[in-house]
Amino acid sequence: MSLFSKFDALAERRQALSDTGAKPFDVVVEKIISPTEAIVNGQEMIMAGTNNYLGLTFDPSCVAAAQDAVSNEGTGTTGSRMANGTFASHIALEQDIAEFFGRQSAIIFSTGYLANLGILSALTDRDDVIIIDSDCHASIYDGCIMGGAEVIRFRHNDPEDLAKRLRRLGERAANALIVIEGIYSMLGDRAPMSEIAAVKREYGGYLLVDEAHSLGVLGERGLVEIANEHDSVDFITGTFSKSLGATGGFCVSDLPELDLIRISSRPYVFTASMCPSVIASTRAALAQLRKRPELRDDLWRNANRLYEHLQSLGYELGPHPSPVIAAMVSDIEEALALWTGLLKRGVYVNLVFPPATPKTCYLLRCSVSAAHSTAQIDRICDAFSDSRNEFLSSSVA
Amino acid sequence: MGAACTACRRLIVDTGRALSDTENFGAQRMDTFDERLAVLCGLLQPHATQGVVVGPETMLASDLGIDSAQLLEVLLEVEDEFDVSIPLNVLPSVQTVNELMNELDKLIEAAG
Repeated sequence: MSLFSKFDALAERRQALSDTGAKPFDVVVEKIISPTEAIVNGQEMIMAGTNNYLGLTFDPSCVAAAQDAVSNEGTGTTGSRMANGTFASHIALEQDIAEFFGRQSAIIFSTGYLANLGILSALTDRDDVIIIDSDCHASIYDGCIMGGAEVIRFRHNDPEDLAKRLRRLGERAANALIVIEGIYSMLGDRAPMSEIAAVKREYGGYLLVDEAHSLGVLGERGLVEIANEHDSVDFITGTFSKSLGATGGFCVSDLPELDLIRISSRPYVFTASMCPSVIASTRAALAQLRKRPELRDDLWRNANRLYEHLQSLGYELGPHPSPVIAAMVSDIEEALALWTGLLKRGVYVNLVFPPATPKTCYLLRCSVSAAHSTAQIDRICDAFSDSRNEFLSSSVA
Repeated sequence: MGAACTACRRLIVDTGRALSDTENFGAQRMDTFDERLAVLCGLLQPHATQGVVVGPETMLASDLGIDSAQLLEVLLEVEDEFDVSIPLNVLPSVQTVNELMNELDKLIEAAG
């Protein structure tokens, strides 16, 4: 029995996967050509699994801002804000984000994962209760565990189930923290925001919405904005690594106590802060997001086109069109064959395995970008179609 | 629920384990615990690996033919049946059906 014995089953599964010839864990992106193209394993590829929703990773203003910041402020902060000090640019980004969301204050974190970890673990302790949607991201689960609060799940996107669980809490419901997401990362479905806000108003408690996949995708600011539920939501978290093409995370709130997180959150205090170039490109991307609403139009046109095509092929998808489009497959052999077939045809999508997936199926998860051309979307559609046909004919044979 | 209870109770008695696990409780509690355990076993039985009769010592991870994510889905049904919410925090220390029942029992008693 060694230290690594616990990984035996995992290693066995990985080996079995590798033996099939499909190597989803060995993908190397050798050269990035554009927001939607790269060289992968020596082959030119349309990238359809990047979460680069607005396609801003090569935006000239973002690249120039990052270059200037590197020249003027150096490559990194070399430590935490608590120890090494806060850069003026950290404060500038926090002011930008707070103003953008129309909130009193903002705190930025080094990644989106750390934003959820830092906020949830600091806000709650063993005397508190957190109620989370069952499909919430791992960062939310991990933040809950780190804080030590009592953690309860409610059925995905089911406001009645949430209400039932708040009712069971009795008086404790008034202080419970409810956590949902704007767009869920695996199937691309969105939370029933107004219904959940109504439940929160009835039972009390606090509401946190993670807009990681919905910032700049649903309206400018996400689901809370388009559902007109600003006043029902106490905290919004999110990431700079998707629609803003950088890395980092944030939390905004109107509650003045938010500032206390800075001295109580371990994932904030004990990690290196965002580096100047990333801050600069994030601020530039935020400006682009606000200045160019046509990016969202392009994004949704592409999303609708791909969703409709995959639906017409008979794939089971999320409940409605979204920039996250996941084809659900129940059989691992089919999932591997399709993923390999797509790769062979120059299309890279995410292959996701249970238990990371809802409904315990396998996912061929696409994320669409505003930067995809119509021709690229059609090539993705064709690759899905051809890969499926190839699989079906090999199954018959 | 009555029919399911009777069926499950029979399954448990057949394993010869349930009574010995619960006989240390007082009579009234034993009845209550026993009935709840039977209901729980009945809910878990459809998910058991072929040939496994769900009883108090059934291991949730290895004897049910489901992974951890599927187990969480099954627990949603269990929560509905007993009208309680099982905190995720207690699950790492729960390995057997009996241990799950003990946690459920605490929640049911706390809810009054």
